[in-house]
Amino acid sequence: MTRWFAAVVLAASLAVAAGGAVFAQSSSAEREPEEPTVFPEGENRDEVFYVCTACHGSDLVRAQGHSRERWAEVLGIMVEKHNMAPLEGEDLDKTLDYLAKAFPPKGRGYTNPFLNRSTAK
Amino acid sequence: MAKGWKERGFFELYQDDPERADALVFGRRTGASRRGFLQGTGLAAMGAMVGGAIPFSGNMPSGLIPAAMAQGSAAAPKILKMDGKAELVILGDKPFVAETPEHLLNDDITPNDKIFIRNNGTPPDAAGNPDSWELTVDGEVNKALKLTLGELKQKFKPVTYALQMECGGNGRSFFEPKASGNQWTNGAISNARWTGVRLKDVLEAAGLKSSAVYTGHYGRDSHLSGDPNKPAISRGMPIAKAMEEHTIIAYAVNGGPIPQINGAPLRLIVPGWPGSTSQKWLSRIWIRDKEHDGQGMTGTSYRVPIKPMIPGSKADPKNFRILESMPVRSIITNIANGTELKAGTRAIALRGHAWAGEHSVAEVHVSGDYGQTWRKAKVAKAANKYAWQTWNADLTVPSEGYYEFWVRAIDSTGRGQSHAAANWNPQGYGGNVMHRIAVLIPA
Ligand code: HEC
Repeated sequence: MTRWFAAVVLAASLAVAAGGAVFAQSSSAEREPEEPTVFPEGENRDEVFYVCTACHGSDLVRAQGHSRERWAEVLGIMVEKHNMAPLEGEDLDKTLDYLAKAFPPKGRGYTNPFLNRSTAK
Repeated sequence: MAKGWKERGFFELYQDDPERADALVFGRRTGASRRGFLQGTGLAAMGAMVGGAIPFSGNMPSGLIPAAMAQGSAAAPKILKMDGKAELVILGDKPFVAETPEHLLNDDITPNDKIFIRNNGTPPDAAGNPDSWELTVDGEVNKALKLTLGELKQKFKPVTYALQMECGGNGRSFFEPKASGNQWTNGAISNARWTGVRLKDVLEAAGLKSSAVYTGHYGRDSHLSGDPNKPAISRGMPIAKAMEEHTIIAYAVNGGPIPQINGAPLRLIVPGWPGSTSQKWLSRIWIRDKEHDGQGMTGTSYRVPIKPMIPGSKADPKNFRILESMPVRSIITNIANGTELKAGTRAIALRGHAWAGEHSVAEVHVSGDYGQTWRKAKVAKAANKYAWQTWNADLTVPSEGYYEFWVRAIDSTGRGQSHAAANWNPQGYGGNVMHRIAVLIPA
């Protein structure tokens, strides 16, 4: 792990702790905790998780499916429009590698609402 | 800039000065009232706003909510449980975004609890005294105005209209390959009865200079990065749209106060155009002498390609124009996707709404056989310009079994809805595929 990644993990754990407290106060129903395991497994998962949830929820990332090139464009927007500090060199590569593998282009995945009927009832 | 912490080591830096460390690692600039990560998260603000009662439920009621058909992934939708809001589908909690499933949009006038939620940033705290809320109108005007909401109500004539308010990204989830952003199905739409003053009247009071060409809107929500100098969103419109009769500065909805999360106490309603022009928590309208260049105006945000691009390829921002009128769309609202109808059902009465941005809806068609045959629906007149229209249609099916009901509308200019989202663009604007629901008719 590079020092850069180590640093990010430390800082972002604090953010998660704060967010968790809010949920504990305000929620009675169980909710998926906002932690790295909500991202698919893969090399550098935790680091990418913490970078990408510094400002917004993981949902925004998980809902997407892009090629590596398009993920690079998305990160470009994060930097240009949203104040994300630019990732460079190896850090950028690692982040893009993870995102492209974990969240590749996907189809609409139409699921018949009746498919799991017998178990749902 | 990034060098600072690489040289010194982040641990050391964080201990010395958390805010600086924060800025270096995430580029996040924190305001004087915020300290680093630990405060000012969207969720905390949201909890405060609704009185701390936001339990979430990860499970969908079986057979009730459109699952992957609507949502675009295998995961069950997260259902909102929040005072003052119906069971909307949560698309994200930071920023807080939730859509209204089509079957909750059956009312002709959308009640407050069913108005969808879209934030770009962190909402402000509720105003203690709404009547003292201030709005500034400045820029290319003869006399800049600073008005409280109380003065606004006193000085200008109130108007009330039923108005469509739709997120610019509505329908995004149907793009292939996937477009970036919130994966809306068709539920980022509302048609509530808004009360306010005409923007036109206020602009006339300020006196537009001949150099005025565009508006730029600002609200009191804050950017997710915590940078106090960066608006969460700041869009605008050409003066002609601002001067329309139905473009209003709203302070009430459905006869009462606007829900805090929907922009109380003051917001714009720019009907028929992407919802991002309808600035929430409105604090300033800057009259510009050129197209506004605020957050969300440039690049490929809220824009569509002029010449169609290869889906999934790299966008050339020069080939993009601002999305103005929203496209035509129709939804079935009286039967939820995944409903099991009564055994023996052969005749089905379908009902829903259709709207078309700045235009009106000319025709609505329904099909019970995947579009092989279509039947024309009865389409009612709009309550006023920019209100959606209600349609009704009867369908019969020949047997028991699994059916899909589809709906499509055609607007007054002859444009309709397609099977596949047209004119692909990286952030997914302008998609208007037909709405479809699946039902089961047991033997
Ligand atoms: C410095 C803050 C910040 C960081 C760090 C950040 N983002 Fe974002 N991101 C934003 C903001 C602000 C938005 C816009 C939110 C909105 O308008 O709903 C956004 C939106 C997005 C969107 C939706 C894009 C669209 O077109 O609307 C995606 C996808 C996304 N971010 C991915 C990422 C990923 C992946 C990372 C990690 C590499 C990341 N973000 C890190 C601030 C950030």
